[in-house]
Amino acid sequence: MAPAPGLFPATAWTLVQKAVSGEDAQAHARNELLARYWQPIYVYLRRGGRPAAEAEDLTQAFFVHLLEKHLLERVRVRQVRFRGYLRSVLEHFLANEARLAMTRKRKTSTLDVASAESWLASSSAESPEMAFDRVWAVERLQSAVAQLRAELTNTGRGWIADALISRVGLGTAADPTSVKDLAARHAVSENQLSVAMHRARERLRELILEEIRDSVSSPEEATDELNALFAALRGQRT
Amino acid sequence: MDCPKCGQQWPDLSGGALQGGCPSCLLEFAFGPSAPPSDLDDGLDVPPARLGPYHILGTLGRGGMGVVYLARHEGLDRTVALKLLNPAIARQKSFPERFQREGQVLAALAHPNIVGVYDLGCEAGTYFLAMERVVGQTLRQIIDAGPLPPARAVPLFAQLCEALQYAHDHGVVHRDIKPENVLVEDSGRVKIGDFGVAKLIGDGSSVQSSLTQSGAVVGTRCYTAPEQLERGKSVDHRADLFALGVVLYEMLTGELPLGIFPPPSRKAAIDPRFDAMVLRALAKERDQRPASAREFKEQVQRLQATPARRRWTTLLAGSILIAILCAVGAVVFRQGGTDEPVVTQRVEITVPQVTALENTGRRILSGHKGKVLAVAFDPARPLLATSGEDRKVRLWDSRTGVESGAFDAIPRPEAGNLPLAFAPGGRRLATASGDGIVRIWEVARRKESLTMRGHGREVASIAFSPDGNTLASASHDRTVRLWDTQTGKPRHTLDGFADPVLAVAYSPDGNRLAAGAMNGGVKLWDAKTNEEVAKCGHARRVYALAFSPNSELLATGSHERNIKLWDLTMVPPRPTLLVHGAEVWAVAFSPEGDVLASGGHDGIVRLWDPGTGKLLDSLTGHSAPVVTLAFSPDGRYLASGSWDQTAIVWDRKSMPRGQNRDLYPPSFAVLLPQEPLGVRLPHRFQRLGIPIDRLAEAVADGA
Repeated sequence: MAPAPGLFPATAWTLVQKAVSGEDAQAHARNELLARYWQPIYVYLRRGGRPAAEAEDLTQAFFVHLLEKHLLERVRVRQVRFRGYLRSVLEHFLANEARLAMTRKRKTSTLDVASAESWLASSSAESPEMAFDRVWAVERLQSAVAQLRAELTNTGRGWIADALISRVGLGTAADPTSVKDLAARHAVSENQLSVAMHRARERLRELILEEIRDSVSSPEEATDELNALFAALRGQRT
Repeated sequence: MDCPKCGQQWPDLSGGALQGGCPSCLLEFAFGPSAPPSDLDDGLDVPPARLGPYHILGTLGRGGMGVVYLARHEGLDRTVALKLLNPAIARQKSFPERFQREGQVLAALAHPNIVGVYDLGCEAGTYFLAMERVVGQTLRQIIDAGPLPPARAVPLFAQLCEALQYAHDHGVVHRDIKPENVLVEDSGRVKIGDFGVAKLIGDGSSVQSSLTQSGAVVGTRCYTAPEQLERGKSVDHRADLFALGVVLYEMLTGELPLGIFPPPSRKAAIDPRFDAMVLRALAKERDQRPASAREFKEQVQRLQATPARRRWTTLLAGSILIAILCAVGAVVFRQGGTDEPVVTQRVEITVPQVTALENTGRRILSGHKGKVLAVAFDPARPLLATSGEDRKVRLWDSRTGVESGAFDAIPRPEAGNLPLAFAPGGRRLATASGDGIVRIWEVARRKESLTMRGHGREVASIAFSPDGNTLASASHDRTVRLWDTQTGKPRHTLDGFADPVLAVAYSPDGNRLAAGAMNGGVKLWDAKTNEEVAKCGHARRVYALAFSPNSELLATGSHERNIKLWDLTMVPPRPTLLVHGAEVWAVAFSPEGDVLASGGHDGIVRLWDPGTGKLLDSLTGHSAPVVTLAFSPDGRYLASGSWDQTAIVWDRKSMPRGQNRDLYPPSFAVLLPQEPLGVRLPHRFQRLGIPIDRLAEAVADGA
């Protein structure tokens, strides 16, 4: 079954490669790059104390900067981790106040930042770097789950994704829903449910690893990056 | 909000994919320790709602090989038994090749006593067999009700032999004959199910024993010929004859010939001449068994036809008269029992009718990670090649949808298109790529045999001349280059384009070469002299070109959202306009010339009558732009490749005409009109609110 368009975003370096290539694919990849990675940048800026309007402008300016300075082309050799690279370019970008003054004058358009703003409501103590990693991690996880859901939905088993979320236990219920209740809710046997959950979990693991793998340069780095993802989600400093 | 489990604070994420789930807990869950459910391998889990064109209605049964569902093919409105093979089986090494090889044999078996296979293939990673469903009893159920009198057993047995003889004549050994696999219709017709599936799923030893529950192993093993249990020993049709012997013994006596077993006539009131016959089939040495199923059948039938009197004289000569008489009494008594109405559970099982291989209307090939960029049929074999954004060329059996191989088309990852073209005789496949290099591959060995360098930029399209001696490549460097396909040396360069050249095609008669460009211009050359003979075109980019089989028509598809059909017999060529309704990425003529297919940015494949310009059908199965199309050499199949990461093989024979639109409602087409031409925006970007042209402007401002 074909996935819904937009649910299978290419991973970081693949996108970068396209973004710096020519023709149609380029514009598409650039959009995708922006869509996937603007949130961590925005939250980083906000956590760094910049007001919403300025953070918004800077987020856009940063992407323009990335493209116009051909910064992505420089790293096409994949020698670095994408997350780290993006963050260091961002820090560098912010250090150059003269450029900031220039970019601030240039109005492009308005970002819909409501979802990103909601990040700022919680754990106000975190540093911009932590916020960046945390948002980054959640976005990668969201992307993997979205893909899992799409895959399941395409075979008419979208409910398994819901069951998985309920089983992990959050949302409204304080405790994870029991296998028994879930099986009853979805009209399957308990064993069927456990088998389905087991498979979905295995797939989710693969998808998360895929998300990570393409943004690093080696398998060892992938392990590191996964650990970083864990740490960021636990609220620890990497 | 706070996670009640780990206490972390999260913003309200209920709008996202996690639906408010705690990301940290989800990650812990995904990577944390857990034991798989105990009977994970017991078939597939919860029934999917659908599989490809099949709507799943219920479960019929499950076994070691997988689960059998009752399903309906939507296009053909036919109810089938759909067997989904256990994923553990599909994970075996070399399974896809075996599935493809054996599947073709199975699908070709057409006998009134064999359960036919309608369709088999792979959908979304799940291997399946679609068989006809009928209502009847298994021989197991019949035997469980009591032994059969020879008058009833022999006709059933004869049908079994006929089916097996037919299969053996076609080189197929069942390998798993047992009463559970033999179905008996109310009319008395016997159908053998699961034909050859034992071989299909592997040689058994490791997989079979690990997948089958212990009880089932014992049950099946009784029917297994000794040589089947010996490692490394070849198995031939005589293994089936052994199983036939066991089944006959069981039919006559109601019991299995286990351990040291008495001859059948000691267990039931039957002619003792059956004994030798049955024992012969059960011989440990296969040379001693009957030579063929036909011979076995004829012996048994002859015996049944001989007068009963002789049986008695033989018997009277024996010294076990009393024992026999007792046995007869017992059987008469039992027979009395079977004459009463017997309540047996009715089951619905797979049983064939006359079996022609019929295909589903379409087959989805998924395997590419990223967009599918090109499809091409091998002119000589049922082989389809596809290329994708993952830089791989994948090879598929075009009839079953089974992937038979893949190779990397480009040593380094490079962005850009990856066009494909088979050489006219097959065997050789040309690819070209973003690095401007054109390559020719030996398909069988997946080996690059020629490398042609010369283009300065991405190659968008390639085409072989009909004689196979020349390969034309169209490039963004604004040229079309002609290459010698034996030496790889450049022959000629056609230039004069002001814009990148996006498409190239040879006329089937070999006289014309056409190319389409970014600015919409189309040029025609005399392929012999390389002189330009005509110009035509569109106002916007032309990605699609195809000549009709008689070389009299040229179809050009444009991002103008239409197709022009040029009559080349007129000077200058005169166009007929066909409106696809979305940017056209691909066009293809059927080999008979009766259909022109166009693939568009709306994900729809439209079929046209090139004679009248009438729209014949619209095929909706893709959820993203269809960028490549090809007809199989016999004209039966149409392959389409799309940015939705799949290729679809449409079977023109079993495709319900004009109904596909309703079957596969487009989820994507409705989104298109709001989008800028030629670009698909991700939904999240739209929410973000920066139009793509604005971003480009911003870049331009800064530069």
